[in-house]
Amino acid sequence: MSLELTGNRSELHRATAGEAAKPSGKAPWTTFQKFAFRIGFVYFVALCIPAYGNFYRDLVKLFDFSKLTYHDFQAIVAFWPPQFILIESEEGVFGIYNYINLILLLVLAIAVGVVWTVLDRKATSYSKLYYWARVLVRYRLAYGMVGWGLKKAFPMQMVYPTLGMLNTPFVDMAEKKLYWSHVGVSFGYTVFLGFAEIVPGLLLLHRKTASLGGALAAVVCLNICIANHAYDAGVAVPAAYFALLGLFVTWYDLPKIWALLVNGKNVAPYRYYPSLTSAQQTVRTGLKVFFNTVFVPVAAAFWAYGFFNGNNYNIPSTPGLKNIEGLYHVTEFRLNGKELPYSPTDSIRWHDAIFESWSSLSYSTNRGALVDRMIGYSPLRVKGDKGTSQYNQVNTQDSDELFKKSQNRDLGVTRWEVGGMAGNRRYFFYELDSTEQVLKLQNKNRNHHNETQSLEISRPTTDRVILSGLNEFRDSIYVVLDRVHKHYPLVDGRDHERQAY
Amino acid sequence: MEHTTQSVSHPWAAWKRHGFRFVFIALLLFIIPIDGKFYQKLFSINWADATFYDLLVLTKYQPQFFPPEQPWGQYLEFVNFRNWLLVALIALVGATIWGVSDRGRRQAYPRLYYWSRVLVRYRLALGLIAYGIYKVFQLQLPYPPLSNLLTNYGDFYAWKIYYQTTGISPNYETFLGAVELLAGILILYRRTVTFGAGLALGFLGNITAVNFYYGLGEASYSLLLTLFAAYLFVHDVPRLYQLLIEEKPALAEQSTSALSGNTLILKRTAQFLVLVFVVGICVKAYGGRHPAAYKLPQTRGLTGAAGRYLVTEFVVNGDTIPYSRSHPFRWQEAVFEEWSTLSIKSNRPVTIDKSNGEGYHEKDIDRNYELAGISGRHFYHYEQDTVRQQLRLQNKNIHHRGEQFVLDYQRPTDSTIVLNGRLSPDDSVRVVLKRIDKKYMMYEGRRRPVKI
Repeated sequence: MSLELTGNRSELHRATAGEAAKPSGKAPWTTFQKFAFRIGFVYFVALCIPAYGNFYRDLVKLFDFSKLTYHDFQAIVAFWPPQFILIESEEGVFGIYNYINLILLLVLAIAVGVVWTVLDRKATSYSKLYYWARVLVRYRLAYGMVGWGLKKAFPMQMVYPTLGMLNTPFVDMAEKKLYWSHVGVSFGYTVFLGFAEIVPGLLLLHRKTASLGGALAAVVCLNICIANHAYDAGVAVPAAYFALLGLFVTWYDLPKIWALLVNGKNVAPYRYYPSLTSAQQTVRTGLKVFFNTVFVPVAAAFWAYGFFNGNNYNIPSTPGLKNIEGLYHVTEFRLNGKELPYSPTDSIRWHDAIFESWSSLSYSTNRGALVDRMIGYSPLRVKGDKGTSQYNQVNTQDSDELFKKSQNRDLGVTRWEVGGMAGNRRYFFYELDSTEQVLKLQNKNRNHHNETQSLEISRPTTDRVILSGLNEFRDSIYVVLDRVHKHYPLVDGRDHERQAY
Repeated sequence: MEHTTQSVSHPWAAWKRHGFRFVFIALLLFIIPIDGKFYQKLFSINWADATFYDLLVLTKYQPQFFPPEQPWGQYLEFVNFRNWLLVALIALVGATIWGVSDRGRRQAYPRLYYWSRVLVRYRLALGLIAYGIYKVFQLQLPYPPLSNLLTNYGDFYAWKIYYQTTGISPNYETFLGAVELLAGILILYRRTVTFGAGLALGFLGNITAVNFYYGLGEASYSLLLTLFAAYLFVHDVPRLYQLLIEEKPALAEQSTSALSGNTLILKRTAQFLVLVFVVGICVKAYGGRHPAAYKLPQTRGLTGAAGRYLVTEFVVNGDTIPYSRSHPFRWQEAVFEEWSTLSIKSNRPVTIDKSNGEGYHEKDIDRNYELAGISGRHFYHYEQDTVRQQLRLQNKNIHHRGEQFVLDYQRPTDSTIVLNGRLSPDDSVRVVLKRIDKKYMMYEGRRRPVKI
């Protein structure tokens, strides 16, 4: 038995062209490699170019500097891949059937690839095109990942459960809602996940760390994609799309990594960089610095500004009445003068009421409502909704547009508080007319936005609220609410000395 | 003859020698069982009758000389980080002595390094595979019982929210288990160790973060496995750095000669044992899902009674108490589970079971996963006497075990149950329960308009 002599360290064998699917450098490409590249080039470049008008409309909005918010940046970096057909089903326009668009694009790419092969007989390699395709893809992915990550690094996408949610049974929340809430329960973990998306994005911006960034992005986005399918969270296809982009970025270095680690072969430097004139270098550096600045620190600044200045897209910003927040029992309830006793089967008499710290009053009864399914982000929203979809859900996330029109943004921030929640609890936005001491209430559920109430409010003691007036059915009601000083295990945490709840 | 990663004469830098001596001893202390409790457990297992959990516990070994911290201690499997401090101290002392005795003689430890990697690979793979199987067969995060689904969101501790949210998607749980299995398998194959370690690093890193943020109870074990994965991964970092960042020629690991003789026998034996163990836990995890699904009680409940019930009548000592949200003890809702548990929602305070519901319990009354980490209702284990039509109930919560009572039941219709008995020596009670058949959003499709 002898120690096998190591290869002569000074001799390095070049990686053979056959080892890589898409080799770089000076070796000529095989026919298969050229054909595969043509298809891949068309496919990935097409994936990275927005194919619908609304994107360009939103791009123009970026120049309206006085009204810029983080939404405008997000609309730019979070664009969808080309949508050829929208197939509706229980999974909606947004679920598993949407993959057909990624497949159709591939078919198109193959067709173009065939034509290209016929027309272009002379090319020996496509190193340059490969390089530039990879630049496009990695910048697109980087800005997308950073954008997605900023929503969590400044927690807006997932926020802490509202008082209404704390008093809602687990099963009365949509799976999507449950998935987001369970992250939102921990502020620290939400920020951690935000960085799990931002860091791969940043790595993608530098050409030497791009493959690492691409691999991390692919793995993170694959998990997001599977979780989205499992919980119906609505961005499964965009996540899969990002994972594909990450794979494409990593693919360049993958054969070499495999050769080095798995096959145990020494590897010579192999990367291709185009030679640029000094004028071209300047342009390149300028563009790079400009876009990196706009889509990383500037975007982050806008998210930070929104987060710290009452523009959290999931939290209303109109403050509620002073010291009114809490859960209230309904001690007395009169409908048109007649007192109704409490019964869990009653569909009119309020079972309880909750005031939030923002201007929201909710109450539960045994009457259902057309549920706001919290459809949220979808190709319909991005591409433009023609209203022909059967499963169309009106956009409930238009706080920025309302704000820009100087209207109260709260009615556009209902997705967290109301979306994905069973309809037996009704959430009303209120405004106080202080001269009359009357609350004007409006149902936050867009499916029932016509329901308004006008209730006179009095607060005889700190823990008692009396409301009387006309409810949403034009009946007169008289409600006496008494606050419950309730403690929630979720809020207190297990470390708290309190044992009994 | 063993192989080396570098030629024999290549010395290591001083920091590397010092560091390795420390890490090597620490690894031995963490991996090779020196804690008597491990052997107690090992020899107490009845191998013919072993449960999945018995085997899982063996793979979770860590030295535990310090007891778990109060107040978690009696409740959780939270391993005290003071054990790590002790290991570090011993390793420091040991490494110093070793360093002194080796001074001037040994310039590198390629063989020991190789064997340390083998040890860590098998240890980590075992841990990953055990937990992977645990999830693939959906045992770790059971589908939430109805009582838990009906509990208010604010009445959960954070860990239970996390477990329950993952539990409502059994397929996602299986996917997560498959990822762990894949990482474990990649680590077992020498050529794919770095890929497996990288995958494990990401997966376990996330689990460790969740443990710290949500208090799942496995903070030190998950961190330990993460560190094992990092130890395996760093092996290839220098050459990857050369290849990808410095864009210099990168040198592969010198190819190793085939093992022979005693080491080959050792290797084959280890592989065989691992295979036996893996097959064994798969069988235990699958074979007879219900005995394997130890977190939930096994005794069947009252026939055809499972469901959610409205308490339409509640009479105590002859006084009818009407519906009320604020009454101190009137039952508001009752749930019969598929197994022999009845949960009752009322305003009676619950002293929360702060454990995380882990552990194998033979008796149903001790299987506390369904009530661990939540409040809002009391959970009663019941024994049914179908002849006399009686239920003997006992509160399952470890803090309320003293609460026991007997109720006679009658079932006038399919969806009505009338209970009569005494809640305590002073209080007679008559309760009429009517089953509610309610629709819940998550079972009513995902997109179609629904009024709920």
